Amino acid sequence: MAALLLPVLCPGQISGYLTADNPPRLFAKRGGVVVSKLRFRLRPGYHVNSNAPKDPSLIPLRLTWDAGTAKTVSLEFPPPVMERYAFSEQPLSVYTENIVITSRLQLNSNAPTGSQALLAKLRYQACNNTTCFPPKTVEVKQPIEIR
Amino acid sequence: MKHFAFLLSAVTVLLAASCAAAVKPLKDRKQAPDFSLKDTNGQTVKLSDYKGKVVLLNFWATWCGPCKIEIPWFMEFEQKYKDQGFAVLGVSMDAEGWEVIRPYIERVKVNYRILLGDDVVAGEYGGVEALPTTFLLDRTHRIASVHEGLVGKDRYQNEIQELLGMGKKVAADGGTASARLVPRPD
Repeated sequence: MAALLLPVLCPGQISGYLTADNPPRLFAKRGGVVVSKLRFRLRPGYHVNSNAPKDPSLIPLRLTWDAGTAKTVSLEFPPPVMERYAFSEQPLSVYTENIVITSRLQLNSNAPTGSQALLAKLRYQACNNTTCFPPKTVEVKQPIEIR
Repeated sequence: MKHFAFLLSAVTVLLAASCAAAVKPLKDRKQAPDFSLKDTNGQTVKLSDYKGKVVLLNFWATWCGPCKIEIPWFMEFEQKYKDQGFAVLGVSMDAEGWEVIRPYIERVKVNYRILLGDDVVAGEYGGVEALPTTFLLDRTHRIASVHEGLVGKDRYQNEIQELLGMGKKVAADGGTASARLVPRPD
């Protein structure tokens, strides 16, 4: 029942084990810098590797922006939690709940004006306590009004 | 109180049953699809090359933590049961291929054959959406059990022994218990 209600209660961009909230509209001038905060929600009981897992064989969380309209100035991930699982000898650097990623983006000087959408892609690899799932990518459209 | 006691005992029985060997009865086993995949040496390997053997077919990946817990168990099974008509085949689902697989299997000294999987073979085995996913195949390569996610070593061992027609069964606590296991004519 909860799974059926989820899209109604949280109208975001859903992909597998992680849901992206619809971000609020940004306003900026051509060539200006904007700050986008994207919020992702993990399905309870699941975790994803942080953007900097200690074990190099693990697949990190990675956010990329479509370079067509803006370039990425900086990305800020929240601090990860160190969790130990049945399958891990060492604690893993993971996210287990909401993830808010802050991006500073500089709009191109020739960016199209008017109501636009910047496209972000979040690649993640989720596991629960016994099982892992192949990497997936969730796309988020960041609405923006460009003057 | 009586109802509660009954419920408790029913749950206990169900839990015990779920922890015991869970190979399907012969009539419920479906034929495992044959496949053709490359091993570390570039050799083509088919499931049918293992005709007559009990096969543990493990889908895994280097980025999968639970998979790495099971691999040493499977190495032990390979060593212990290979002379009794048993083989482990590890099908890696790493998209990056041998570049990431080879260093891992060399470091861990995996003693069984590793194959590079693909979406076609995964699809034939039901999609393999979760890792690890392990199929135990009887000697005629019918699927006797499927395990998704990390399960206990003893559970695998019990099932392998049952499929090999061995008369001993490992207790869930790791000890060895007597069991009336009749050799199967597989």
